[in-house]
Amino acid sequence: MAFPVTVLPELTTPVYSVVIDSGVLLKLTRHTSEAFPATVCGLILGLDANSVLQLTHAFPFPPSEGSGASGNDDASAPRSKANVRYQADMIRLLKEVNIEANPVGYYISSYLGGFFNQALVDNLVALQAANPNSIVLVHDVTRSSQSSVSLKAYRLSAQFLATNKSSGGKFSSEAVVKNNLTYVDILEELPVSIKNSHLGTALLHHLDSPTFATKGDPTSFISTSALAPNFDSLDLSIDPYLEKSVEFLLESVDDYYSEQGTFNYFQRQLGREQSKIQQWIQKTRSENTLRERANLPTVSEEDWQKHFKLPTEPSRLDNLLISAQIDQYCKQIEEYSSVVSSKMFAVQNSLDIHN
Amino acid sequence: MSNYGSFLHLSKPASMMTAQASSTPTPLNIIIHPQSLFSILDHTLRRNEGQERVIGTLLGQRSEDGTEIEIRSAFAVPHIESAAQVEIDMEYHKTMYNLYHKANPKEILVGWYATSLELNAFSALIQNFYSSVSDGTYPYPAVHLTMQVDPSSDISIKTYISTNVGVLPDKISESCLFVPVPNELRYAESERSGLELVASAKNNESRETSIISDIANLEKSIEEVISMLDRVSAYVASVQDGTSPGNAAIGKFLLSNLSLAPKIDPDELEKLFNSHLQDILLVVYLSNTIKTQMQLFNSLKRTAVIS
Repeated sequence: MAFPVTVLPELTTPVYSVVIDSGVLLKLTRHTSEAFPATVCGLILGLDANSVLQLTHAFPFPPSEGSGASGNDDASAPRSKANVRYQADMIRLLKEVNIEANPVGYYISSYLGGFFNQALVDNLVALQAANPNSIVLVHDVTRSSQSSVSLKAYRLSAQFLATNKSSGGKFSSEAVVKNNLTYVDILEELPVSIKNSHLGTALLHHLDSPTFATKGDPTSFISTSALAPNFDSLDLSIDPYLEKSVEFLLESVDDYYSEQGTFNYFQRQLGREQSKIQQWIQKTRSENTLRERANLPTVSEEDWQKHFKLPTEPSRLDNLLISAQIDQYCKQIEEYSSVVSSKMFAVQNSLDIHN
Repeated sequence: MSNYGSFLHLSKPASMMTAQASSTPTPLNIIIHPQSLFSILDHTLRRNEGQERVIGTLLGQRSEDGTEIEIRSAFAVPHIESAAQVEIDMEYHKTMYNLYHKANPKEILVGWYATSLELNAFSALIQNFYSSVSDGTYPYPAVHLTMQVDPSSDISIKTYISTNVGVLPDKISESCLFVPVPNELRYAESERSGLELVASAKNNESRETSIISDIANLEKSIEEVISMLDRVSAYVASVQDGTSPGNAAIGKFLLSNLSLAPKIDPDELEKLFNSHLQDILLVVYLSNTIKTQMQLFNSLKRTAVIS
């Protein structure tokens, strides 16, 4: 699936990887997991230098007022009026304490990786128009609480932006095919790494050192250190996760099917109109020969456009997004099951030895 | 409700107010979330040239009885300090606090931090501002957190509250008694994975780490467990040899943990495992089928449009 990435003209210094400051990571994971199951978002600030995007600060957006009035409040959150004002205020203040006041994108929380939607694309289109190096960080709260942190950085691919531009946001089949856009490359993922400052490293060593007083029971042998190893990833409760994943997957397939229905309807409609036009052209043609004989002005065959209107093609974007979402769910299930099955076999073996 | 039945309004005498204030429970324990420490360190790194210490506001929650204070986040407040005077941008503090409060309605002002262990007259001055009646934490005492961030020494964190015991009346605004309060680091279960990831970089020279996949994480965990088991069995073996002295407490602990291993009928287990495994395989099969179907459909559509 490696298409040659066409570098957009305005993309002067494209970034290829993302480095997140440890403080930002902690802030972001805490905000998203505390708000769970609500999806929340916030702004990230940083710098792009030497094709690396450094994220140095982040702050959450306030929860939208009067939530519940419209079902999906946070959909356009980074661009809503209240948040734009909040963002401007915040950045002005952060500038005073020498923090890079340069927004480079936003972060969102997601539930089991269901983040492909119109709002995400709209936000990214707007952000990347302002700053081509903008990204979105997706933090999957459910997966992070199960094992390791699941944080991904994405931005819209060059193909997607080209398609959006050439079709004027309509995403006709023609434009999609011409720009080589498939559902797998709507978003391109950027590798993410975490970086500690020197002081952060010192702090972590301090927290891990025995001199850091912990109020553990001296007779207990369970480590009370703040950074005690975590064995959550060895947990064997697998059903809830798998069940939910399959549920979401099937929901997406349903969506896909209904979207497909709309498209089929359009195609039938188109076929019907086209056959009508053909009939009309046939008719005018025969009438024209009669008129010619009677020395009357002829009617141009191109005039069918006056009488008929072809149905407009529905946007293919929905289809692409749903496909991408299904693909995402499938990938997740695969990853998850590979972990789970190895765990299962491991436990089975060890219990066999026991018995 | 009582207001309705009463026609007599008495303002509380001042002495009663102070009596009440001193009877408000003082915090006995302070819980620090790692995130706030990282914020403070970040602020230290961004201090202006020549500035010895930086200060900022601590936000968090207070337990209902007021005996426990949780420091959950922090933000920087610009200030200028010279030998003679200290100037803090209080306007900044107020606007920032309002903005923070909007995004995190649950977090309230609990105190302030400074990045040096020194407590001086300015500390008292600032402390009195943070615990003042108008914008401060009154009637609760403000928490003062000091953090040693000098690169040449170990990081150390100390927390204080203040009381006005034994303070000269004419110097009330610039003196107070800092009482040390124990603190501990705590974080929510959900933050654990994030912190662990951050901590995994602490021994790397580049101070960088990348996000690892689930399967790699599993491998790491298993390796860790195996090494721990090796350590324990090596210890037990050495006790049995008599090379190292036995410890009854450790022995009891190990024994009680060993007895936790479940005893399950092997046939039953076999059945359980197989049914579970079948479930998983079925789901994988389903997802693969859907995926393939999607790919196939996509290619078909493409050729249809091109032709």
